[in-house]
Amino acid sequence: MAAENQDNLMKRNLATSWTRVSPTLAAFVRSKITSLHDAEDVIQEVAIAFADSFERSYNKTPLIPWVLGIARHKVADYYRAKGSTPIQFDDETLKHVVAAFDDIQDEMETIRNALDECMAKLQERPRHMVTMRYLRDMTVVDISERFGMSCNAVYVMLHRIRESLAKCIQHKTHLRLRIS
Amino acid sequence: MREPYKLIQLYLSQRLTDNEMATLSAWIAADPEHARIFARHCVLHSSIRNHLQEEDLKVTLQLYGESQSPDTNNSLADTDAIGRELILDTGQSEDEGTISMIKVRAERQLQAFLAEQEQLRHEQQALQLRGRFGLNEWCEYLRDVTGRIATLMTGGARNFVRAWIFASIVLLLVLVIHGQYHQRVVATIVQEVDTVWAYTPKSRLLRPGRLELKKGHAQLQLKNNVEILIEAPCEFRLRSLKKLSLTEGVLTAKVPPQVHGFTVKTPSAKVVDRGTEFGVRVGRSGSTLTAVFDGRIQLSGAHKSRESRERSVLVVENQQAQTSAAGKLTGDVQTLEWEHGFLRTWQEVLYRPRVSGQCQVLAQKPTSLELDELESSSHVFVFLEQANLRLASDWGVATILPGPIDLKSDPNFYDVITAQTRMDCYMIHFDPETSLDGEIERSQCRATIGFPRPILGLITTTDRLIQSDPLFGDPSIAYPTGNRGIEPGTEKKPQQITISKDLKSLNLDLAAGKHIDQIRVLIAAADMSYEK
Repeated sequence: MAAENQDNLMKRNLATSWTRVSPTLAAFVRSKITSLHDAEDVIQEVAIAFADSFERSYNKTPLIPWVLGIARHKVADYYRAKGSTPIQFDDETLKHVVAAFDDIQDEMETIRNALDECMAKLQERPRHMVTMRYLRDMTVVDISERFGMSCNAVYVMLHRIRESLAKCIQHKTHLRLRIS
Repeated sequence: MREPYKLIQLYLSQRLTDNEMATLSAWIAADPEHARIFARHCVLHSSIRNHLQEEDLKVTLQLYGESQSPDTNNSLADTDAIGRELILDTGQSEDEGTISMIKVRAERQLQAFLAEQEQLRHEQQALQLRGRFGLNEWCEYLRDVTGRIATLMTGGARNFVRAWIFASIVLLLVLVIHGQYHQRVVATIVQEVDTVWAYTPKSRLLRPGRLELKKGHAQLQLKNNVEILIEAPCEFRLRSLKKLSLTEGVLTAKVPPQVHGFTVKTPSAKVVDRGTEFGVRVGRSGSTLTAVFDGRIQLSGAHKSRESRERSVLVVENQQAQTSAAGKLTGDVQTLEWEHGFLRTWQEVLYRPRVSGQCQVLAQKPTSLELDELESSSHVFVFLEQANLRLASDWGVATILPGPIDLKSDPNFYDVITAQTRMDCYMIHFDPETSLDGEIERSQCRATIGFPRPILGLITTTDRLIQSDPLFGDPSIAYPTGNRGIEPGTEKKPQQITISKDLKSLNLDLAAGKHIDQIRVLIAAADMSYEK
């Protein structure tokens, strides 16, 4: 009975810890892998490794650095399997990045809520482009053909859309996203 | 050196060079706030996907009418939010009662979710054991009912009732399957411009059924990635992922290689794709013109006669074929004539002018517009110089009004196109050919050019054309520096430019001599703004 209670408690802790880290993990992995479907596969692999090692590491290691450490290896495995070596941060920079993700944990919800409002303001055409890129995971080449634009123009448009959203979120939340 | 913000955007697009990565790394390491800004951008990038996935899920649930039990999760975000509230230390003191309420709510939602999962698992097991849709239980119930009825009847009546009940079950199953089949989504409206639908679709997700586009253009994508570009007026019916009926109007279809046998049926023809891009135009009479831009199609008539149905032709790239309203193939397969004006891409929808008369649209920009470089005595040329240009400062123009333009008097600037206005710029060019002995053919050209959006301004004088070249022209084109504007006409050489009532078309009657005639046309750009 006691063992069963202990087991349930560990499962509950796993679930709540995962709820806490998954937005950060998604942000980290999606920034490193262009294909969003592939990114989600990698996130699932991280989830499995996280669950496997949870019992022995829980409360012994800070949560965010630990899961991002797993993610870093899984991303490296992904690129190794693809036969490519993308340009990545060095270890020193990665430490700053991981620390920053840990710092902004409390801001995730705020950014998401502000984004919901800001996305509602997007006009039709940029919304289409964003839907193609982020929901349908279309490549820039496919999007450029669909819109009749060059690939570079599509990249520029996506950058500008993110810039608009960043400006909107900064205005609503006073969190610094713009570099002035 | 690129700005840090641009480096972050390049990072998110996986387009950084080694040097740029080093610059970004140094910037991140220089200040913890820089690293946090970087992390926030990664969160934004990721959250866009989450937002769109949640929206997509809500639409799907609405469409399929999922019922919401009060005890189940109403929103994934809701549970997440509660989870975060539970876990995160916000650093503020919270009312204990509130915390307790949040915990109880989260606990209830978790239990309800686990109970749902358990229920689903049991149901799936039961389905596997007992067969689909609980068919066995239903059959047992019906056997029971028919058994009771049978005890009250004689032998013949018993058999009749059993047969009737069996037929009813079969009919009901057919109706249910048919209904389910027609409820599924087969296509999405990807983009549309200036559209007016006879019956506005309830959402961008389209099910099999009839659609009528009265105005504008729309691009659909079927679930199997077939792309359909529709031009109004157009009436059609989506039948399935591989079948579409076109009653009247124009469409072009781009079929990916993995889709075999995509078919467009018209009142007079049946077009079966064999790996291709093609256009179909159905006239009011029902006659059909089919043009193939890439690949090939199998075309057969829809005439009742077996001979017509059996006689089918293969139409390949750069060919066209016609069927009469009666559904018979008329004539042989011919070389494609481009004045049929199919629009093949969304870019053409947005930018390609519609011309009639002595005018040719250039798909590629010329390298030079100097005298004798782009000559024709039989038609004028029109092409897009720049798209989506944002005006840096105000630009004076003569007021655009329907009717003929006064070419005799000096154009005063009664109107201003204000700074920040977005527009597309076109060039109309007329340069008659010079014969070998240096004589210019005195040519008269009449044409009508329709632009996709209203005209904001016309530049017709040499001075203003030269002045506007750096602003509106294409830097890759060599523009003439000599006389190139539109002169007032004479009795012998009439010249007239007339603007249509809707301000979207120009009617040209030009007589060129030894000089070039050019008109620069500024029209409103397609809507490109990002924020309301």
